[in-house]
Amino acid sequence: MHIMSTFPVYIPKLLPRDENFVSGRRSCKGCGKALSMRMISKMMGNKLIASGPAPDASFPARYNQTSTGSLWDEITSGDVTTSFVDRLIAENQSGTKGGSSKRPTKAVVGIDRRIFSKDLLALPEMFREEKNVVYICYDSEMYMNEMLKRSAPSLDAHEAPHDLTREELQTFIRDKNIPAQVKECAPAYSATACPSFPLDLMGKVKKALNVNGTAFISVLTPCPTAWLFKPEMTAHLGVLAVTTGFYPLYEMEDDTVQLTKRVAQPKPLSEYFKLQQRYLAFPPEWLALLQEVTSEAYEKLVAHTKKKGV
Amino acid sequence: MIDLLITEDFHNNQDWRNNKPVWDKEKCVQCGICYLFCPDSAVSMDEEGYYQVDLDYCKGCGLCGRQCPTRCITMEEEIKPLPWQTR
Repeated sequence: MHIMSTFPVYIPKLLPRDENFVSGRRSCKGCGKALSMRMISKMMGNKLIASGPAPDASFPARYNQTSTGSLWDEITSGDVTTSFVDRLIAENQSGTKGGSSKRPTKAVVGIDRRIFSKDLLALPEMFREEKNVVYICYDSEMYMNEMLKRSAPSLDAHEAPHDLTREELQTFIRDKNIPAQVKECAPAYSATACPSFPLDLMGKVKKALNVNGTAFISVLTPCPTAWLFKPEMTAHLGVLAVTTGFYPLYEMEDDTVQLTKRVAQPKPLSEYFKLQQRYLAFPPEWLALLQEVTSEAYEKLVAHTKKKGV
Repeated sequence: MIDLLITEDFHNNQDWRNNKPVWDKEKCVQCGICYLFCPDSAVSMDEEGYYQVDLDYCKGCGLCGRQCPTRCITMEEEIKPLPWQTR
């Protein structure tokens, strides 16, 4: 027996071996979203049903296991609540009604963060309708491009070019923090996760599947194609997002907030930004302002972890 | 040209790849982190407990080599003939 096999770094060997994730051409090199989807699907086992538009869906469809399994549907556009989730819940309930000895399973819905940027009512609608679903939100920071567009005249910019103000940035950081926003909808469990910390992500998914009630997980998915960095840096970018305090990892349960990765000395935000080529023309004044706002928000979050509520 | 595209095998990622990961078994401590971080689930364990890659699905992103704690994975450049050079 190898002497190193007693170390906790060997935990990957204890994870389920079966792969529910289909290898193929649907994701780019080093895709953060594919990585996190693979880890999430590992946690749900072979009880997975997935469907979705072909370019985005990387899961196999397993309709023969409807009666016992978790349900997964990835929503990329359109109505969040009415069609997809209703159908999923109906399938789930009709399957579990027939005297199955297993406990009723939860539907899992994957949503892209860009839906919330486009449709402001999608988030409250989603939580108003369904009470026993796991929502997983892929956050690939596409809203940062909106900020970049304001620096120069652009055809699809919503506003005229202007310098970013402090209030604007504070609003932006507040909107980035989705679990704090959904706390009024009273989910039983909500968390942020990142595939750079795989065991943390898998543990949160497992907790979300077992909790009684609605769960929400927001997953940061670095995107080499859009952020313009080398594909091998995907996990490193995720680590930097967490250690700079730009994307803190925490979980909220029973009105208490807990930081799962506590950073004693947050790194400067420029380390995270300089690796991404899309920020080549990002003005340094904005970065300094964003650094201030981010540190403030992080300190506020750390202060809130000591008492109840966000 | 169209015939060439249609007869191309679209089930593997071979033509996406510029580099392929190569394991140095002397340095490998069999931790399994490369397996955990592969976005294409191309890395698997062999009978001896070492890890290997399915070159049909590897896209050569290099994430496994970057995450390896003992740096036993090196990315070797792979020069493949272009489709019209093989026919």
